Amino acid sequence: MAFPMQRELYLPTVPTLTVSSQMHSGLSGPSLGSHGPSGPMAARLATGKQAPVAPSRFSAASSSSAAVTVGSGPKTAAFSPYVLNGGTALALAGKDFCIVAGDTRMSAGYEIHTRNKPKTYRINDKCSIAMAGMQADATNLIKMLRFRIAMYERKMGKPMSTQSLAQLVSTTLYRRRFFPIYAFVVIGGLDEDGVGSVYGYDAVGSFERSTCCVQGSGTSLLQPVLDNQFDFKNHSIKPDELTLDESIDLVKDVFVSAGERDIYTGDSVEMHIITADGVRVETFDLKRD
Amino acid sequence: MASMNDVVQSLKPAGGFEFDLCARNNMLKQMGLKAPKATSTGTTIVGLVYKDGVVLGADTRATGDTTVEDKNCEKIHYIAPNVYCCGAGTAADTENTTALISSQLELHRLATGRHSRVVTALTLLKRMLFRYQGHVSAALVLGGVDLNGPHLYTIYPHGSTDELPYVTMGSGSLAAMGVFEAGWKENMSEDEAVDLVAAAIRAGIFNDLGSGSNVDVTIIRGVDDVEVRRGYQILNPRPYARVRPNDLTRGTTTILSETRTPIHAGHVEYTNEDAVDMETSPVESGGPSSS
Amino acid sequence: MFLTRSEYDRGVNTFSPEGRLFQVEYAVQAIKLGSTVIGIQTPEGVVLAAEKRLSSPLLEPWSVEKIVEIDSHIGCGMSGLTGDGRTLVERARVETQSHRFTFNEPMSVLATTQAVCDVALSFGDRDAEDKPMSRPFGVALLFAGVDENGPVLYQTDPSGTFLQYKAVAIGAASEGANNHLEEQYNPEMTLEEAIRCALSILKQVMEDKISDINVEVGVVPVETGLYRIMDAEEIQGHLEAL
Repeated sequence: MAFPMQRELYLPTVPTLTVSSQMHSGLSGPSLGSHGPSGPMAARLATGKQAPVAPSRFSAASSSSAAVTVGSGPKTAAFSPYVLNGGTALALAGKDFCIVAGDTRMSAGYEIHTRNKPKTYRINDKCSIAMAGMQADATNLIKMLRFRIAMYERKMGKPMSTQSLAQLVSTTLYRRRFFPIYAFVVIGGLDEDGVGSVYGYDAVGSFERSTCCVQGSGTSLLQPVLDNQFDFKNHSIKPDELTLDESIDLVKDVFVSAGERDIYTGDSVEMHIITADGVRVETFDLKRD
Repeated sequence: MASMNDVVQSLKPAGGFEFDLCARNNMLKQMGLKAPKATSTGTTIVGLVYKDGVVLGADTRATGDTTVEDKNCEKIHYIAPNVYCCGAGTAADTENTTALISSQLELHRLATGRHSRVVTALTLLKRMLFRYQGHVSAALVLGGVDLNGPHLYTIYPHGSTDELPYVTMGSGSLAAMGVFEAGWKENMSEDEAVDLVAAAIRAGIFNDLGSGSNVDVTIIRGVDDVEVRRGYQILNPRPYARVRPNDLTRGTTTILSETRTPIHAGHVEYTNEDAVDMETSPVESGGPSSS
Repeated sequence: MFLTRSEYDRGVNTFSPEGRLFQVEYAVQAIKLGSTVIGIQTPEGVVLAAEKRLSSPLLEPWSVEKIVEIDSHIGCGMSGLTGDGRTLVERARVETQSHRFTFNEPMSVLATTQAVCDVALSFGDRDAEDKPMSRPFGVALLFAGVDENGPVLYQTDPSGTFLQYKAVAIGAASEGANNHLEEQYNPEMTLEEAIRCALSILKQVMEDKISDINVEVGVVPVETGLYRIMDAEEIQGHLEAL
């Protein structure tokens, strides 16, 4: 059997910004920015006028043992713009419904920043977005998207369809291919035929339509359970598709389970239930420890 | 040629740690192998001195990275009939270090016929931890009552120690210390002391992600006057009884091939008339977990 | 032509005291020199028919192009300065492709027309980022297409105004052609009838004798939703049936 072409989902590494406060005589100019040791700046330094130090010195990410020179030498400062705020977001698609849900805990390291920051965002009567990853990037992304969606609605005179939103999110993420938005998006909604649809993304805009997708710190716990219990993968005998009520029970169950074992998932869950009647929001409590 | 006896002798465990593989591991590390990382402290443990003795407290969560490995582990360890010790850090280190010192003290009591002093336990622990230069990652709260009255110490992984009237340790130590600083006073009654200890542990459980589940409390009033209150407060039961999955239809799992081998030996018949459902408990996974 | 000619017609940014922008009005006049283009919308689709002025027997007829494709579901007919028309057509093509890239759906005909009209009024704005025209575009466009609202027809002019029509004509003979359209238009028309109607009006208003090489016909049927230009043979068939 031929293997499908291998694809890799992109997890951003932390880019570093190299700042040189004082340059050697051969080089002049303001502070420099580069992404990693092989960034454009390092290349320029190497091909420019003879620099008195190896180019790798200018990169904060370089593992070379060259020590930072005290006094007149170049000084380097690491810039780490990413932080993971934890939490789990997911979406499930049924025949005529969709559920988008996320826990409301926002944390960093061992600290809880807030117990009430929903990861779900209502877009219109037909779809919602949920995001895990870095909260600042997620907030900014949703603001950019809301702007684009508002402009679209005025220009096109209709609400944006779920599939158009899916494409918009992808292009928005891919624009930042080399300084990614650290948000892991999942979209849930109804398509043009009223059928539930879910789109899952990596950080730079690769996306795929599916029927269930989990993002964030609980992914490795929940995705296999949903594959088995919602999509009935690896079942020789497929039971009936889950109804809306059964799916809501399943969502509650998997979030409670993630709350038991993942330290970043807890406090409460906000759930958007999308049907032909519109979006209904429900919440339920998780453990707070 | 080595005799059979030599071989047997070489397989017998000697005392202390084995360092046989250090040279090999250093070489592998230089070749680029990433060694499995020992996890950092994720725990809230506290102790405080009150009018008649010492109260120790701990949460019951053990984590491996960001996963909860044990929801109800025991972090208050027995050292002597009048001495107990809370442990934070790598679970294996805290358990084995306290057990080792506990048995040394037992031998010491047998040899001397006297009750152990808390300071003896302290000295044994700090000497051991200092010898291993922080590689044995145990952060401890040691408390007990001896002929000199109640004593409460903290011991850091590198072997330094403090003696204080109220102490906290672990990743939840700041949350817990906040409660102590606000509520501690001299000559507290036992009830007040237990309440304050439980409040400090709760602060850790609810505000520190490395700590969770229940409050354990141990009260040491004197030799053989100790109250171990395991599960003093059960704070985090599962909030929702699961509905799914329902029973699966027989045949759901595809059988690729089937081989049956009859058992000839003996004449044992197994019936499952009285069979009960298998208990499922957390699987202990490999790698060090931290508590 | 105008009662008050004055120096107010020199700058594109200057209103006359009567509130007129003469350069824009002159640009509208430029369209009246253009060849005639007719558009008719029917429930079955939209048709565009254009006259080609073949000023010399040595001219290659194919090189005169008055009806072009914007996207697979939109066609565009132009009258006036065809060079200006091509600039706007290019913009419309970029906008529709960009919309597909960003939103994974075809752009509506209304939004496409709107996007083009946004450019039409950017003349004289020296600080604008995309090197605008220094004068108004001397061209009128007919956008014909099928989108989720069904078949639609829009007309634009140099002032950036756009209007939706059931049927409309632009160019030199637009006045006469529009009169004919008003008489002959019937909302129940089939696409076939609309094609014949457009050709018969062109036949009446054109100075040259109509033939399969001096007219262009583009259609966007609702059935396929796809723009298509007719070949000479097909046009000949319709002409014979007139």
